[in-house]
Amino acid sequence: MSSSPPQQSRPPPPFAAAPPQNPTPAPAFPPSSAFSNLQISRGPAPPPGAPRSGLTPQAAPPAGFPSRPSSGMGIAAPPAVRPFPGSPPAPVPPFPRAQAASPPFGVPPAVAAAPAVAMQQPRPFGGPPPGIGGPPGAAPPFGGPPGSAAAAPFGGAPAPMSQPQQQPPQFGAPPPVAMMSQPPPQFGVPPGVGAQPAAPPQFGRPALSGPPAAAGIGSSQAMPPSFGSQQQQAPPTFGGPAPPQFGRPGAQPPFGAAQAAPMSQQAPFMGPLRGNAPAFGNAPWQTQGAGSGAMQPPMRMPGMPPNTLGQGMPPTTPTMPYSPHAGTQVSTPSKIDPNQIPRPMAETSVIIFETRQGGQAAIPPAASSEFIVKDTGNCSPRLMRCSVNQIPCTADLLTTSGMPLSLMVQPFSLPHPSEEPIQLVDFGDMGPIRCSRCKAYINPFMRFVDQGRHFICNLCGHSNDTPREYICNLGPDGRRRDADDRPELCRGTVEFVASKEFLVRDPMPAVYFFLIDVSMNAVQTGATAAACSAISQAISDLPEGPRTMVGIATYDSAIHFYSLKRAQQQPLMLIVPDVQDVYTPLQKDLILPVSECRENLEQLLESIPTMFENNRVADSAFGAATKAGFLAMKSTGGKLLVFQSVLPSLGVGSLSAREAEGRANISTSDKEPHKLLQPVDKTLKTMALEFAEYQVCVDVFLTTQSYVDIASISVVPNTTGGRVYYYYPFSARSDPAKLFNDLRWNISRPQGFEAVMRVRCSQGLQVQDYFGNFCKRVPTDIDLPSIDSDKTIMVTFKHDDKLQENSECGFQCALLYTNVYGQRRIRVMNLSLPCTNMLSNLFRYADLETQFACFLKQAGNGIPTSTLLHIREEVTNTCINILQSYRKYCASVTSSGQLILPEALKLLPLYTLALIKSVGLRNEGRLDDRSYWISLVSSISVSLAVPMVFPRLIPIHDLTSRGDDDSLIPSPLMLNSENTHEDGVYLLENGEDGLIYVGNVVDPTILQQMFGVSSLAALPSQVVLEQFDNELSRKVNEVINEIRRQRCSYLRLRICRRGEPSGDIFRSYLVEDKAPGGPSYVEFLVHVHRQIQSKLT
Amino acid sequence: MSEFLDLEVQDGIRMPWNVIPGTKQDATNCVVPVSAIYTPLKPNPAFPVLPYGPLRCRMCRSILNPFCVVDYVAKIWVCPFCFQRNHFPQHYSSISESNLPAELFPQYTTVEFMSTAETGPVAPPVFLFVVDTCMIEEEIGYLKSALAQAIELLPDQSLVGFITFGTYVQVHELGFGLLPKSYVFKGTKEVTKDQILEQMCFFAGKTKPTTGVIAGSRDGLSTESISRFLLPASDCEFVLNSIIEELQKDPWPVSADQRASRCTGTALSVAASLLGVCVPGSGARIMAFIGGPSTEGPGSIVSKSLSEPIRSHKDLDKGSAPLYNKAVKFYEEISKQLVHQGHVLDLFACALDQVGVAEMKVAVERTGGIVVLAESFGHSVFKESLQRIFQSSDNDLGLSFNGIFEINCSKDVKIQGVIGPCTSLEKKSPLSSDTVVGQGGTTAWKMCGLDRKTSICLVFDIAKKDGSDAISQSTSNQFYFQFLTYYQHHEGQMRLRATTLSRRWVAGSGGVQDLIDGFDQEAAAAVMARLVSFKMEAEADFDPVRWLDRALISLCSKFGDYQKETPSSFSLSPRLSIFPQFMFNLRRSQFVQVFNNSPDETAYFRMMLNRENVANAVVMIQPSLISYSFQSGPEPALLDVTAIAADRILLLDSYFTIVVFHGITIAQWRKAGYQDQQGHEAFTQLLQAPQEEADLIIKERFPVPRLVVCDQYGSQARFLLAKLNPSVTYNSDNPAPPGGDVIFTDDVSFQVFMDHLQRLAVQ
Repeated sequence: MSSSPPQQSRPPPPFAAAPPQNPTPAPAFPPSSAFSNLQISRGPAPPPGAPRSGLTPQAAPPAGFPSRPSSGMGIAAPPAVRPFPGSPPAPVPPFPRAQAASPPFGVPPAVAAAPAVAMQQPRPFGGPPPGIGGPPGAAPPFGGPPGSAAAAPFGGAPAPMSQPQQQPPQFGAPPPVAMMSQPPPQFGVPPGVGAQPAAPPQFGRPALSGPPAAAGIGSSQAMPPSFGSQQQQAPPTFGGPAPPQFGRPGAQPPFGAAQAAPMSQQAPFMGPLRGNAPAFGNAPWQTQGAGSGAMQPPMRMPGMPPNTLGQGMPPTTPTMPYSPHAGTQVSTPSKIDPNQIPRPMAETSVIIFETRQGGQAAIPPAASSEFIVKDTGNCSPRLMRCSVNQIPCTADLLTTSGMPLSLMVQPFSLPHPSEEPIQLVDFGDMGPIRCSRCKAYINPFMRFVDQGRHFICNLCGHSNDTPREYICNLGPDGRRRDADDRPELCRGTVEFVASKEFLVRDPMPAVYFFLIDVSMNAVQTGATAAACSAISQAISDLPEGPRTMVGIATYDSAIHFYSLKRAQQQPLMLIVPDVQDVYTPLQKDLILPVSECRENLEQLLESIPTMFENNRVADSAFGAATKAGFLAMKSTGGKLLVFQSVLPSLGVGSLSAREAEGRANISTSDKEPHKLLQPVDKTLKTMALEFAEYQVCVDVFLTTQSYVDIASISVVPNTTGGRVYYYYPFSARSDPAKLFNDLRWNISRPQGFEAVMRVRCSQGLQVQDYFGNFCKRVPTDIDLPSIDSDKTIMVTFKHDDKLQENSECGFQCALLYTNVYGQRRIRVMNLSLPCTNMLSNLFRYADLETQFACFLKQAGNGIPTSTLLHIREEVTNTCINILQSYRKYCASVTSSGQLILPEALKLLPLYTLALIKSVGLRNEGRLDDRSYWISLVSSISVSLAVPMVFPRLIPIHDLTSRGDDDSLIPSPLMLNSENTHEDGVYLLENGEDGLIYVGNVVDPTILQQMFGVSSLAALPSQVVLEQFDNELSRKVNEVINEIRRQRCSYLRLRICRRGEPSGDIFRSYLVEDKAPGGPSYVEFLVHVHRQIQSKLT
Repeated sequence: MSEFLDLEVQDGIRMPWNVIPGTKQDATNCVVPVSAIYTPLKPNPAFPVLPYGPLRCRMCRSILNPFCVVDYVAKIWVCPFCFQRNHFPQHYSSISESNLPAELFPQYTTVEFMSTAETGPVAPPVFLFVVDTCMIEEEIGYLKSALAQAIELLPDQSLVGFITFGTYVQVHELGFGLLPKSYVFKGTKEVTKDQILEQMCFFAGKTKPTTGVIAGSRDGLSTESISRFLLPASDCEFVLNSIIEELQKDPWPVSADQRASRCTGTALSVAASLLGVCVPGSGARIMAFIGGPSTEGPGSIVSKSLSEPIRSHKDLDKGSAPLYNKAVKFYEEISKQLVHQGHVLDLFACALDQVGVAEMKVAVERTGGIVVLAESFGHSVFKESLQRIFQSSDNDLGLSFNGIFEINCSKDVKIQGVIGPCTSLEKKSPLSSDTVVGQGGTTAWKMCGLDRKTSICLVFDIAKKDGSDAISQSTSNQFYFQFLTYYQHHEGQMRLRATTLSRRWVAGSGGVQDLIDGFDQEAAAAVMARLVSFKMEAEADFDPVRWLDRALISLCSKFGDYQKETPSSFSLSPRLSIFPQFMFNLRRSQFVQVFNNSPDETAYFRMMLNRENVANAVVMIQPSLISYSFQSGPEPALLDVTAIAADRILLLDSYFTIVVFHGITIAQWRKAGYQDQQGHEAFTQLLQAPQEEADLIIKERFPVPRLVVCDQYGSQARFLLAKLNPSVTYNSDNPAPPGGDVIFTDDVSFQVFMDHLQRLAVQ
C-alpha cells in the first residue's frame, strides 16, 4: 500500500464537469422519475458516471482511479496496484477474464469449495482463534439440543474461504462490485433506453428534476409508467432469482479485480455500497440518482473513485419525490410501490478487509456481513467501529449532521476463523511503552522522529523519549525499520503482557459460583432440575486447569451452602438463615478447584432436585443469596451465576409485585408508567457496586412463569458486566436445552476478568460517556468484573476543540484484564480515522448499523426515565433530523417533493420504524419483557443490534426444494404479512427468539417431517426441535444451527399459530405491516418525508 | 453435733440456730442470721413416696403434715401456719389415730408425692450440646472422645440436639438424612426466638399465626419441624457420632496476635431460643463445652487482640474491664429466658486461660446448672465429671429438672431470700421480707436444674417484735417451716417433695444458753461463707475481712465466757469453739482472698459453695488434713505447717483439690523404689493408704476434684502449703523442726488471730 500517491488523489473537482452532463439526461427520463417516490443517494456520487463507464473507461479511470485506490473506500488496494495496470487494456477483456479467472459466476463451484474448507475448520460460532483461548476449538460450544443431531451443528459452511488465498487482490474487491461490474450492460441499458448505452440512463434515471415539481403534483399518477421502465431493471438487481448475469452476489468476489475498467466505472456506484452497506443488495431505485444529478450537476466524474477520502463527495442525491402534494398525497401511500422501497439485502459472500490501505483507513464492511479482517494498522471493525468513518472537524459539523459520534467497542468479539490471532507482545519488566503524558500505549500511529530517539504521541501530541532499549533507526519513509516486525507498530490490535505495575494482586483464578433457586415454585416448575442438569453438563466446559474454581449454593428463604471438600464423604450443607444480614458460613472450602470436587459436585447437583422435592417454602431470597455468594467469592472475584425462578420476596433486596400494583393503581400506571421500569430502590445497585469492586460478575438466569421485576434485578448484572437470561414462560420441556446452551456459552466463550477499560482519543475530542454493562467509579475508566465476547460498550465523544482537516483522529481503547488462565493482559485497540470538514463526507461514510446500535442503546437507556411516546418521538426525530440535514445541505434539490435518502443511511427509516415497533418501545407488552429488552440492548453488539428489532424471516417449509447452490440459509423475506402464507412454515429470528410460524393449512406431511406430529392440533406450543430422519427435518436443523452459530445464541424456539396469542407475537415482528401501535413502512416514509418538508420550509 | 447430722439425714436441712432467737432484736444480736441450708432432693431411702397428691390448706396452700393438729372425729385438721381448719376430703374419711396417712406419721416430716394423674405423661429429658470448636487440634481430639463417650451413656429416650460454634454458630439438623446439614448463624449478632422460628423454617408451608405464643408442639409447631433438631438419642446416634467424628477446628483463620473469634454468647442464645421454640416448659439442659474466652458478638469478655489481657479481679475492682458489665447483662438476659422456659445451662470450661465463667455465672447459677472448670478437655477433672453426669451409679447425680421451690412458715418468720442455684419467681406474699438477700422478694423460686446435692441457703427474718409475744406465746413457742419442691424427677415424672420442720424459739436474755445449745457452728460457717461471698459480689466497696472480723467479735462477745477487759479469761462453749477457726480459715480462703485467683476461678468456687451442703462447704472453707505415718494409723492432723514431717504422708482435701503430700524421707524412699521391694510391704501400704482414701473422696464428689501428688519441697507442694496455718514462717522466732517446713508469708497465724479476737471480744 505504500503506493498511495496523494497528489493523484486530487482529480479535478468532478463537479465542474458534471453539471452539464446530467441535466440532459434528466429531461430524457422525466417520466420515470415521477414514479419513483424515493431515491436513495449513494453516499459517494452515485451513478451518474457509471453508465458512462462503458463509454469512457479509459479516460476516466486513469484519472480517478489511481488516486482512489488508497482511499479507504473499501475497495481493496489491490485493484490499484494490479488491476490497474491491467485495467487499461480494454473494457472488454475484463469480462471474459473475470469469468476465467474466478468462478464468480460459476457460483456453485465457489460454494461447493467452501463447504470443504469449512469441514476442515470447524468454527464454533466462527470460533475464536486459538490465541484468544476461546472455547476449545474442537467442540462447538452450542451443541444441538440434547435430542438433536450431534452433527456439527455450527459447522456452518463458511463462505468461499479458499478464494482469498488465491487471489487476494481480486478478492479485495467486494462482491458488490463484482455484481455491478457485470450488470453494467444490462443495467446500463435499460430496456427502454435500449440504443443509448452511453446514456446514463440507469443512473441518470429520471430526474425528477423537471417533473418533480410538476410530476410531483400531477405526476403521482404518472408514476407507474416510469416505474415500469425501472422495473425492468429492477428485477435483475433485486431478485437474486432472476438474471443469471447478476448471479448471486455472494459468489463473485474475484471479479472486481479482474475488470479494471468496469470497475473503475462502477466504482462510484459500488464503492459506497460496498463501503457502507455492502450487506444490501442494490435496489433498482439506486439508479435514479441521476435524477438528482440533474439538479446537482456536480457529481460524478465517471472515474471518480468512490473512496476518495476527504474528497468532496458529490452532493449527488438521488432522490425521489415522493409526492408533490405531500399534504394530500400522504393518504395514498400506495403511490409508493412497496416493492421498491429500501430494504436490506442478504449478503453472503465473504469479503477480505484490510483495515488500512495506502496509509489510510479503509471503510469497514457492514457489521452483519461476513468478512475476514487483515489488521494493517487499524483494529478490526469487530473490535471497534465508529458511527462515522470520517471524523467531523468541528462540533458544529457534527451537530448539523444530526448523527452521533460514538465508538462501539467489543473487545472480545469473535474473529473470523481465518483471521490472524491477535499478537502478544511482551516488554518484560519494562512494561509496554506509553506516552508519558496521556499514558497512551505505543501504536502504529505514534511517529518516531529524531532518528528514533523520540516519538510523538498520536493522541496528545507529546514528544516522548524513546527508551534506550527500544530505539531503532528510521527508514527512508520515516518509519522505523523494525516497524513491520513489531506487532505494536504495525497492528491495530495487540496484547501486551501486563507488567508488575498493572498488578495490584495476583491475577485472580477463574471462579464460578452457582446459585440455584429451590423455592417451591422453582422446584415444581422444573426450573431447579433444569438448572442443576445444565450446570452438571456444563462443568466439563469450564476452563481447564488448577486455577478454575467452583462453588455452589441453593436458596429459598435461606441460603444453603455446600462444602464440597470432603473427599470421601457427602458434601456438608450449611444454611445461612439470616437473609437480612447475610454472611458466608465458611471462609474456605466453599469454593474449590474443579478437579478436587467434581464428583461431589455432580452428585450434589443430581440430588438437589430430590432433596428439595417437597420444599414448601415459597419465598426466595435472591438479593440475599447473591450477596452471600458474593461474600463467598469476595477474596478472589469471579462469576456468580444465579438461577432465579420467582419474584424475590424475602431478605435484603427483596422486591414486590410492582406490576400488579401498577395495574391496580391506575394513577401511577398512567402518570409515570416508566417508574416501574426503574429499579425499585437503590439496594441492589449498592450491592452491585460492591460486587463490582471485588470483581464479581453476576449473570442471572430467570426461569420463571411470572413477573420477577427484571427492572430491579437487571441492575446487578448490568453493573457487574453480566447479563440477564430470560426464559418466560419457563417450560420444563423446551427450555432446559437452551438453558444449558446459554450456560455453556456463558462459561466457554472468550472472556476476561477483573478488567479495566479506558478509551483515549486525539486532542480535540473527548470521551463523553460510556454505555454498557460495567461499573464506573472514575469518569475516565470503566470497571468490568467480567467482559466477554458478546458484550459491547458504546463510547460517545464530544468535541472540545477543532480537529485539523488533513489530520487523522486517533482512538485507542485499552483493556486491562485477566484471562481465564490467570494471565494479566492489556489488549490495546487502535483506530485512526481521517478528519473532514465536509458534511457530505459524513453522510457518505456513515456507518448505519453502528449508528443504529447507538440509537437503540440510547432509546433503551431512556425508556425507564421517560414516557414511551416521548422516546418514540425522539427516535423518529433523530431519523428525521439526519435525513433533513442531508436533504438540506447535501441534496439541495429544488423541489421539496422528493424524499432523498443518503445511500449509506437509506435503511435508517426502516430500522427506525422497526425500533419504534420493538418490544421495548411499543405500548403493549409486559413490564418484564420491556425491562429485559432494555437490559439486553445495553450491551448488544453492532451486528446483533439490527436483528434485535428487525428480525430475519425465512420460509422453512420449502427448504428441500431449494436449489443446491443456495446458501445454507434462504434469503430472508420482507417483514410483512404478504410474505407469510397459511400453507407455509416460517422461522422468524432476532438473535434471541426463534418464532416458528405454522400456517393453518400446512401440508400435514411437512408437520410430520418437521415436528413429528400428524396434525396441527397435535403440535405443542413448546417445541423441542428434534431431528427426524428426513431431508426436511435435517435441513431445518441445519438452518437453525447455522443461525445459532451466527448469533452466538441458542434461539428460544416457540410455535406460533394464527388466532392464538403466539400468532400475535409473531405478527408484531412484521414491522412493515400497519399495526395498532405504528404505521406501515410506507406510511412511515410518508410521515418522515412530510416532517422533513415541514422543517425545510 | 451429731444431732444436727441426724436432723440433716432426716430432712436434708441444717440451720445455724436450731433454737431460734424469737424476736427481731434477738436475732440481730445473734450476728449469724437465722437461716437454713436445705438440700431439697437429698436422697434417703426412708422417705416415703406417696402415689397420690397432697392435701392442701384452703387458706395458705400448705400441705398436710405431721405438725397439723387433727380432729379425727370431726375429720378436721388445723394448719400450723395459718391455723385454718380444713376438712378432710372424702378419700381421707377412714382416717383415725390408728389409721394415719403417711404424711401424718411423726417421723415422716419429709415425704414425696408422685401422682401420675396430675402430672401427665412423662417427658423425656433433652440434652442440647453446645460445643466450642476454637481449640487446638489436640483439645478437639480430647473433647471428641469425651463427647462420644457421653453420647453412648445418654438414656435412649432422651432427646438430643447439637450445636457447634466458633466464629459462627452451627445448629445441626440431625433429622436430615441426606447430607450433614446445619444452620449457620453469625456470631456477632444475637438471634431472637422469633428469628429462630422464622429462619429455621418452623413454619414451612404453613402460615405463621399472627398472635399468641408459639412454642413447642402444643402451641403451633409440628412435631416434624421440632424433630429435625431434637431427636431421641437412639435415633440419631449414627448422625451424631459422625458429626462428632468430623468436628474440626473452626476454619476461620486467626492471626498470631489474635484470639480465636469465639461467639459463646450467641451460641448460648441460639441454644436457649431453640429450646424455647421446641420444648418450652419441659426439662432440658444446654451443655456448653467451652475452650476459651468469648471474643465475638454479645457476651464477649475480651477483645480479640492478644495484647489485651483478660480481666483480673483488679480490673473488675477498678472498673477497667470494659466488657464485663455488658457481658454479665447479656447472660442475665439469657438466664431470664432459660428460667422462663425451665431450662438449664451447664458449663464445661476447659482452658488454661479464663473463658468467662465469671460472666456466665449468672446464667449457670440461676438455672441451677452444673459447672466444671478444668485446664483441658483431656484432664480427668473434665472427663470423669462428664461421665459422672450420665453414668448411673451409687453416686450419680440424679439430675432433675424444672423444679419450683416454695416455702411456708409461721407468720412471725419472713423469708429474706435464698443464696443458691435458683431464681426468684417474684411471688410476693406477706411471708417475704422487705430485706432481700440473694434471690428474694418472693416465697417461690425456680430451680430449673437440681440434683441430689443441690443445697440452697435460706435466710430468714424474724419479724416478731418484743412484747407482742402474747398471741404466739399462747399457742406454742414453735416456729414451723414447710419447704415444697416440685420437680421433674430424672426418671421423667413430676414429683413433689414436702419437708416440714418445727423449731423452738426463745426470747429475751434468758435464752442465751438455749441458743448456744442449738448453734450448729458448721452450718453457721457455711452460711457465713455464702453470705460473705454474696456480699462481695453484690455490695460495692465491701470489706469482707473486716465484716467477718466484726461478726466474729460480736458473736464471741455475746456468747463467750469472759470477764470484761481480761482477754485471758475468755473461753467459748464447745458449741462455738471451732467457729473462730472456721472464720480464720474463711478469711484466708479463696472466697475472701480472691486476688490469688482469676475471676473465673472465684466464680467457680463460689458457685460450688452455693450449691454444696454444709459438710462440703466446711471442707472448702477449712480443708481437712489427714496424716499417715508408720507411727500411727491415719489420723486427722492440724491444718498447720507443723503437721509437715519428713516421714509423714499428708492427705489434704480442700474440696477442689486433693493433695497427697509425701514428706521428704518418704519421697526419697519412694524414689528409691522400696515400695516394690520385698520386705517393705508396710511402706507400700503406707504409700497406698492416702491414695485409696483420695480415690474414695474423688469417687463421690462432683465435679471430680483435681488430684495432686507431690513431695516435700517440690513445686506442687504449694497446693498444700497455701492451705496451712502459717504458724512457722520465714521470720518466726522458733525455727522449723528438722524435716519440717516454713511458709513464706506475712499472713498472721491462727494464734495471733485468736489473741486479737480474745482481746477485742472482751472489750
